Amino acid sequence: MTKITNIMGIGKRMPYKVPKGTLDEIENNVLKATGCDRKPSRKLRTAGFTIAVAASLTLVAIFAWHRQDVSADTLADVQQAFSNLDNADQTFLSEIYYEDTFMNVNY
Amino acid sequence: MNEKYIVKLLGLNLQLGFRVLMKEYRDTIYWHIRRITVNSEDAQDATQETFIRVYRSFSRFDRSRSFTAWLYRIATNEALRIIDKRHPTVNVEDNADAMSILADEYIDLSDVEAVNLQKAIHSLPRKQQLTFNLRYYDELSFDKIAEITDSTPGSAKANWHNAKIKIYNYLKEYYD
Repeated sequence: MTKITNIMGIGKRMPYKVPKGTLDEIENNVLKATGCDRKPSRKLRTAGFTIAVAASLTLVAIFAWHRQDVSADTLADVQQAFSNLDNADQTFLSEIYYEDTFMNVNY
Repeated sequence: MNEKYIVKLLGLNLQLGFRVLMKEYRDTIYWHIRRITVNSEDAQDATQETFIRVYRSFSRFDRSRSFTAWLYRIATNEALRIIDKRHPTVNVEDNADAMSILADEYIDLSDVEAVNLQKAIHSLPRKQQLTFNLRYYDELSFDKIAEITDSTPGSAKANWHNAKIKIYNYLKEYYD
């Protein structure tokens, strides 16, 4: 493989261009078609930095419960994925954790 | 994010899990499909249909299998289905010209080296194309590639090896 890429220095570069806004349009269309664009009805309005940090730690705790030997890299991935969510989803995850007895008992 | 966590989240709350899934896999799946369809509009439609199918059929997903492989398999089938439906006269395997035929205005033809690599990939038989793309661009394991391409890890390795040789020879011939 090295030989191929070294010949031309292409690497993973591709000639394809993405029309502006396509990826967001895909996401929006799919979420609308599946009904996933609707946020949980129980969402709290207390969004903000404190909630986000607390909820982020919660998500990490959820996944640490799921797998005790989770690596630092994986936790970072989880935190990154979590930070990509909007406030409503972050809050919702937080609620799931704190209200789920089964999950809390096992952590 | 580890696919197990995505599956766990989908099980806890399908809609929330699906939003996370979209954010994690949207670009990856789009590019996997785009490498197959070449055409940007076909790629968009196939990507959308892939995720909708994943959402609707998640309850039937066998959790003992790889979720990533399952997702890629649906995406691959959807990409090929769209090509067959919209471009029935275009043979997309063993056909270096397929890329030029399927191309739209969203290809930088001035990037000759990158164009030639894609042509070289399209000159391969379908399974070798898929195997090469999944290994080279997506860096998937041979076990996962085997699940996606309905083969064995041994066959996937052989396809990868043969694809590399053919691509190397294609490019070498072009530049010699």
